[in-house]
Amino acid sequence: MVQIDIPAAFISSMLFLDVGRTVVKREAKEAGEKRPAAYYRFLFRSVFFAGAVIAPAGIYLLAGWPGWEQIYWTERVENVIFHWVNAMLPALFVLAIVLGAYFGHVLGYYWLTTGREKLIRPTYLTLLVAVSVLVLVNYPSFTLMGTYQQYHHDPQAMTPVWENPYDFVLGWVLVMVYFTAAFVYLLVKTIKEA
Amino acid sequence: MLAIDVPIAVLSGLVLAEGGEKLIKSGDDDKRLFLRVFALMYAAIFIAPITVYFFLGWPAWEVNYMWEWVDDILDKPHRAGFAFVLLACAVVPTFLGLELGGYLIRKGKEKWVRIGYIAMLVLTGLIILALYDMTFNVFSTHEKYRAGESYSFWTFPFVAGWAITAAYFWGSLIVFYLWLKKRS
Repeated sequence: MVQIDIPAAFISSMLFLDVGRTVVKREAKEAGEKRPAAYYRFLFRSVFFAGAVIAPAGIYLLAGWPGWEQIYWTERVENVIFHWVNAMLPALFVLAIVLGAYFGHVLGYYWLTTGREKLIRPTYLTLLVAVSVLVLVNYPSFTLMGTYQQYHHDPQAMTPVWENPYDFVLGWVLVMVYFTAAFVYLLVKTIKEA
Repeated sequence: MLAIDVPIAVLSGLVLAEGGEKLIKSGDDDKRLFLRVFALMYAAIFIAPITVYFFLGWPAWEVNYMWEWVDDILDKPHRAGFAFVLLACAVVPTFLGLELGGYLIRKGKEKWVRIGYIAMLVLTGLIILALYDMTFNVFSTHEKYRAGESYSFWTFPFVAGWAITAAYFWGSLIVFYLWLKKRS
């Protein structure tokens, strides 16, 4: 979901830094005023995860099921074809994901190297909870498959997602497997590095 | 158009390599890592969104009317999966361009980097010329393409979207090339 994907990029960046804090702090101390290699290694990891995993997964769901992917907050993403303004929304979505990863990294690194590392974990955990609450308060939007108009005017016409309309669940599961596998791989890599 | 998105992405990688020539020549792995991160971010921020914009806004035009299925990806998981290919077409060629440029610079063949990106520019021009009608006559769908019902590329609002994305991409490439040169 759009509401999850953008914060997820930010959260992932901070999480990677949190897990790899030992090596980041050590290399930052050794590098002195300069940025250490760890800064760029972790940035690459975060941006790669955002650009190669979160963004494609997000665009996949936004292109295939635009209403559900943004839990029916706007009808604009259902009308992107031949619409020069609306078509910018998916593009801005990709941009926001990557920038979210970048800012999560920059802020996390700044906190880590200026004695404010205690802020990192509460920040990303709080954001994770906030995003989860945001989605949950929009119940039952994420359980229904349909259009913006249907959700807001005729929800009875919508299909519950567990009935796997249009093979949505199959697609979603595959995307989540990809996301999870990539995340676990990068997390384990970071743990080993630390 | 996807047909030119790939050579343009390679061109971007080569231009960034030339911009960071001194970083590459330094032999410092940290500096090369910086350049790789920079290229990845550049592709993800300045190339990938444009590809997504045109593919979701004008899917038939974006793929030069090669495939009809692009007009109908709603509720179709196997078609929507093309999103992965789309983003890969923006990021992977940029990276390849950067690595190729880096390789040429390390081998002392700097001039080939410039020759390379000029060649990509010429290739892009040739592709546009070869697909002139398809490029400058926009057919909303594949069905309209078959029926010959088009509107001009220069028609608002299509041209407005194109102008904004073109300025966004080319402007950023020039700015970051100069920034890399200065930083080097």
